[in-house]
Amino acid sequence: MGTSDIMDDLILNMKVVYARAYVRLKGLLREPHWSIAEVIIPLLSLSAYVYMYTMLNAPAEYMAFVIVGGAMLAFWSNVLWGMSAQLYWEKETGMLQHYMLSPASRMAVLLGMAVGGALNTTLRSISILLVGTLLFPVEYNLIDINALLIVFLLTITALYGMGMLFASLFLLYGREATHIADLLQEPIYLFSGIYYPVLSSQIFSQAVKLVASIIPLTFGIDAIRLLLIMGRGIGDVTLHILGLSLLVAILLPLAYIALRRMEEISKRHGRLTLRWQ
Amino acid sequence: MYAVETVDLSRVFELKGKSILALDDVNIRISKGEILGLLGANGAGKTTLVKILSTLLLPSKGSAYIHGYDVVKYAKDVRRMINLVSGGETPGYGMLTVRENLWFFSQLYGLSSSLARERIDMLIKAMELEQYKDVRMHRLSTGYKQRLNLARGFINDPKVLFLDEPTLGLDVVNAKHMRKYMRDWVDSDRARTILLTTHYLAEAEEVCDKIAIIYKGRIVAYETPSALKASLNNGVSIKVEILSNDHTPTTTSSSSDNRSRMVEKISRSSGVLACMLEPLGNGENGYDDDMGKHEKSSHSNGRYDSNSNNDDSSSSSSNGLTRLRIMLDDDSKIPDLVSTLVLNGYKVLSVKKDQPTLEDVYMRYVGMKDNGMG
Amino acid sequence: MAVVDGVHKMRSVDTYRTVRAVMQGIWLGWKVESNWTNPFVFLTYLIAKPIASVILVGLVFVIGSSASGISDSSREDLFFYTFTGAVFFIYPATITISLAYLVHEDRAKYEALKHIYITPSSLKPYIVGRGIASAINASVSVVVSLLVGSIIFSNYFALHLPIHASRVDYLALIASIPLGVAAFISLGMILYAINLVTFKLQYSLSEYTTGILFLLSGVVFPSSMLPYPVSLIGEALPTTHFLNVVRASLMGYNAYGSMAYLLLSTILMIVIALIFMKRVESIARIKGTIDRKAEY
Repeated sequence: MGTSDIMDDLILNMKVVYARAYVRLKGLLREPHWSIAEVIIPLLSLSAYVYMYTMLNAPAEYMAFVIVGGAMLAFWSNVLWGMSAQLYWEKETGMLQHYMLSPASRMAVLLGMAVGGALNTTLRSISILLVGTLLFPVEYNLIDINALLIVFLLTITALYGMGMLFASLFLLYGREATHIADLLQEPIYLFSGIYYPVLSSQIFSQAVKLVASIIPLTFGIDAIRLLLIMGRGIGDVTLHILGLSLLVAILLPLAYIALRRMEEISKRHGRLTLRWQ
Repeated sequence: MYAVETVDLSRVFELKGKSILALDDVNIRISKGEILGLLGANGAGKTTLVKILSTLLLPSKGSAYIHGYDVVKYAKDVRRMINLVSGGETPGYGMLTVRENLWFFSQLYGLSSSLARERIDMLIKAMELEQYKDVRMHRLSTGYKQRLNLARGFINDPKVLFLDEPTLGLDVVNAKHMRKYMRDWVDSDRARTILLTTHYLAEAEEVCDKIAIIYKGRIVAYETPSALKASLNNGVSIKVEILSNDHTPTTTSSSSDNRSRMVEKISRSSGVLACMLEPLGNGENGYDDDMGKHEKSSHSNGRYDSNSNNDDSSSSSSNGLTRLRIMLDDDSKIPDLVSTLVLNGYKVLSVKKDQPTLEDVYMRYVGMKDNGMG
Repeated sequence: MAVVDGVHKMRSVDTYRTVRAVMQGIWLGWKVESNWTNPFVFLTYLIAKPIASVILVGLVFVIGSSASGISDSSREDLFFYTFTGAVFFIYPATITISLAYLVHEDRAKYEALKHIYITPSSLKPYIVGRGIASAINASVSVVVSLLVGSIIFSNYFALHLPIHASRVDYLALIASIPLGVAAFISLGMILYAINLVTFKLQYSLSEYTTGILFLLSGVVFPSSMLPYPVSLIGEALPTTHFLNVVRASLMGYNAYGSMAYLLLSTILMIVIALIFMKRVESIARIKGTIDRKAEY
């Protein structure tokens, strides 16, 4: 493969990433009710937990914990439904065949989905944070914005890396995909600490914390709470940054391998394009 | 170098512990500038062949090449040269407009902005989609969705285009429009090639340079339409109108059963290659007369599935009149056939020799294979 | 006389059809939603998800209460309040989600809605049947979550539910379930009706509804804590009274005051649902939405 071929490939795949992300962003504009629902619905349940902490006379920062957790939850929902289950839906609607026919890299297609999804969800997440902050008397204490940005970007990369990995696995599981996504929803809420701190809490054992650390959301939420609410600096989240970097380093290559494997198995068994199987 | 070439291509599917041979040593060679029609009933192996050639499926044995590139080893190079349009498939994202969908697909092939714009404009015009170009895909009718789908297939100006039953479910006007575009597209640049799979015999006859008949995964005939018809030289096609002597009123289903039994009996007679019911209206050789219907109402020496409760009211009237189309291996068998019909209680109203059609060719080859003659 | 007989006969045929439609709805709902043949699906929806949601509420309680240092006695009472709220909220959540999603399932996924609609029995008995099937499923989830949740929280977090078998008012508890279920099926029917004439809310309508009910019905905190006009809405909801009756009967308190409110709000909900459904069915026929599929 010559240099010009590599360049051609690179340009092609960048176009694919852009085009696939464009479809996602277009969805935001064309179907604004989706975005409205994805802001209002999490706000309803997070409000209930804010009231619950109020009922328990919990310290004020717990309200902020819930709001930050609710904002980050938007990413998990998007990774689960918008990424992991996406290839399966593309197959069901017949779009997967079009991707598989084209010379575009399959990773570029997934990356496009991830970029579009992450941009979309960041807007929703910020909306949840803003509305939650307006509704309840919460205070933030941010002193290291750079650390916050680093942690946020690492969290998003690791999360969407996980989504890219799941996309191939879900496709192989076929019809069970939606059930798996459904099954993963609540346990992730439990372990990743959407509504309460996990890593810094005394309630959970080290073993539970270790298991919870496999989910990028756990490190991400904990670090963002420390930086945004508790007024900590980068030195206090070094472990989080290392953990997230490790997850990125593992999840992205795994996603690539799973995608190759999925395509190979599907082509061998003729499962790439047939619906409902 | 051929545009498409397969060498002993086979594909086996494993289904619930059973092996199903979908393709069996298929050898085809399609030259550049050619439209090959692949004819076959449901499950004959047409789509499997197209999927292997378009890199969606791996073969179990043999090899396939597109412009000399092995579809297994050089899948990525092959993908740059091909596209596939299937009938009834989703042509894009429902919430994107026609134009946006075409732009999206152009990016999957890495087209530059200017080339993409130029080609999209051209295809929107060619497919007569101008008034719908800014309409979201999910709001289009079936016909216009398929026009968009066909436009998608041409977006990368492929060297080889696979069309898998592209006119499935389309009305006459839409189907005719598509056929004309296919033919013009290949004629305007002889480096282009189309492999068209279809149920519609007349469609194949109208647009294809060559026709391959696939039956149970094997290519049983592969020629130009005229050569295929000429291959029936030693066969004869006749139309027979008969009247049942028994005028007892019958229910629709019992009359259908009677006709089915009669067709089966005639098919078993000596010298008969195939026998099928003909409609009494003017629909002969019409595009509606596809193989799905054909399969139900016909018998090739009794080997066709006789599970035909086919209530084809147009093929017989209530007064017992029936029209049959029969393939004989020799016209000297006509008197014997008439005797058989009379002995079985039918009054023969007319016997007319006819020009062989592609339908006869299909019946003949599939019938011969069924009898283990091929 | 013959005319009167004919009318009686027609009425009995109608009743027979209605009962058959309800039974078919229950049978179909049971088949589709419980899916005993697929243990993975069964475990996901009937066991794992409900348990996880109850434990989530329990953990928020454990962490919140340990951070605040409230007294042991009020800790146990508050735990009882939030835990039973979370467990019995499974009924309205399961039924409303299932019925709101039913339109999409029947209309777009299985394309069966038009076939159901053109049968002589109306849609309402079918919806009721599907609602009852969901309620049966929810009962399984409630029992399992109650058992597993109470074991986990009493063993690992020393949080014991102050429920004594001898003090429970079983009559009130048993009566509250069909009353609550009737109210939730009616609410589900309203959501069904909305989705029958619209397309954009197929997925989100039930989520909005359960979110609002979770916030306003005194599930994990008393609705009186909400700002004034909002708390009034909470008081009018059958979910609030259903949970009040369940809690009172489990503790052996007098549940009949709340029961009267539950009965009243259930009747109101049924009337609204029937009127709404009748109106919407004709709108659906005018708009042609019964067999139309939305594509995205």
